[in-house]
Formats: sequence, structure tokens, C-alpha cells
Amino acid sequence: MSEYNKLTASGFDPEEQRTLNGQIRKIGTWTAVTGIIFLSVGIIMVTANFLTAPPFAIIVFLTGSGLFLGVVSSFFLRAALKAKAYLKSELLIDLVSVHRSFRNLVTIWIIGGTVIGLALLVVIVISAVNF
Amino acid sequence: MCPSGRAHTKEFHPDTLNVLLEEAKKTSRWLLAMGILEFASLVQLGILTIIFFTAALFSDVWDFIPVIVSLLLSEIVYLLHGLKAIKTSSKAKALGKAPGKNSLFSYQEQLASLSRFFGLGAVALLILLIAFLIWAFVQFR
Repeated sequence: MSEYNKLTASGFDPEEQRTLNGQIRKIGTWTAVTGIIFLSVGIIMVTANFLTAPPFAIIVFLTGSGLFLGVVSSFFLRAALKAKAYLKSELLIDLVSVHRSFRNLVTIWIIGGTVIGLALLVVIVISAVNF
Repeated sequence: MCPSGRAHTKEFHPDTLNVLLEEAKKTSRWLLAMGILEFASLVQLGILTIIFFTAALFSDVWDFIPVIVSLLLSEIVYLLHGLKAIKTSSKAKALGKAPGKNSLFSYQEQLASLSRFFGLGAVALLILLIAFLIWAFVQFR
């Protein structure tokens, strides 16, 4: 019997189910922590404008980054909620849901990383010209 | 199948399993892209560090120390994050190629580890932001 057939025929025994739940619990906890931190950082970034009254370029940077982090945090918190839903139901379809939400947050991370990378490129050019 | 029409893990319905494997394959590609992006950002940060380091040599070094230190810290985070993303990508690929409990557990272990790195990266970002805000408060108050 191939590994695939064994998997489809037997499912998980209680010990394996505990391992699986432990892994999903870790994913859920860390995505929740990351989401909460990103949300806090986003809020701090937007409110920092009012506290320090920095130059316009920094206001744009802080507001843009703060709003983006707010969006990213929603993806992380959603993944945490999906993990919680799986732990309640232990349905395979909910496990798929956890993996899908993780892929979504990787996607938003890549989009954000690309934007930050381009911004960094501008900083490199400006720094090189200035120095 | 359970009454709701959804597959239960105890039964491991092949259709649902196929969706899980398809998801792992897609995630593998995205994680690989993420790893490459992290390394590209690492190169950019490296160039920026060289520029600031060169500038520091020709002026007051202490003005540039906080920037250089924070850049080096970010580089470590980017390096570890990139490596972890690529490792998770290979585990996802292995799951897609040879579906089995072991490959699923191995993949999920890496996912859990990667999510821990997301959390640690977020903490690092928070520390950098606090340092930046203190600097900005002193500069613009």
C-alpha cells in the first residue's frame, strides 16, 4: 500500500492528532501575536504624526506604512482565527483553510516586501547621490 | 463523509486531501518567491550598509552608528527569514510530491517555525519603531 493510500485509509490516530493540533496551535498563536503587534505598530505609526509633527516625507512614510501594517495584521489575525476554527472542529477542510490563509498572508507579505524593496532602492540611490 | 458533507480527518477523504496537496504546492511557490525577495532585500540592505559605512568613515562615525547597527540587525532578520521561507517551501514541495503523514507533519512543523519568525520579526520591527520615534521626538519636538 502506498503512503498516499495509507494516509487516506487510516487518517490520524490520537497521538498524531495531538501532534497536528499542537502544530496548528503554534501557528495560530504566533500569527495572532504577529497580527496584534503589526496592528499596534500600524496604530503607533499613524498617531506618531500627531505627536512629533515630522517633515512631510516622514508623514507619508509613517501613514503609508501604518495603513499597510493594518492590512497585513488583518491577514495574520484571520489565519489565527482559522487555526482556532480547526482546533475546534478537527476537520480536514478546516486544515486546508488554515494553509490557504497562511498562503494569503505570504502573498500580502510578498506584495509589501516588493513595495518596501522599491522604496529601499530609492533610498539607496538618494543616499549614494548625497554621500 | 460527515453529515455536513465535509471530510473528517479520521476519514481523510481523497478529494479534500487533494485540495490540501494542491494548496501545499501553491504555498511552496509563494514561499520560494518570499525567500528570494528576502534575499534581494538583504542585498539592498547590504549596499545601504556599505554606503552608510563609507559615509561614516568621512564624517562623525557616532552619528551613523545607530543606523548601521539597525541595518545589520535587519539583515540578520532578513537572512534567517529568507532561509526559513526556502526551507518551508522545500517541505511543501516534498508534501506535494510524496503525500504522507510524515511529510505533512514535517511541513507543518516548518510552517509553525516560520510563523514564529514572523512574530520575532514583528517584535524587531516594534523595537526599531520605538527607537525611530524616540529619535524623531528629539529631532522635531
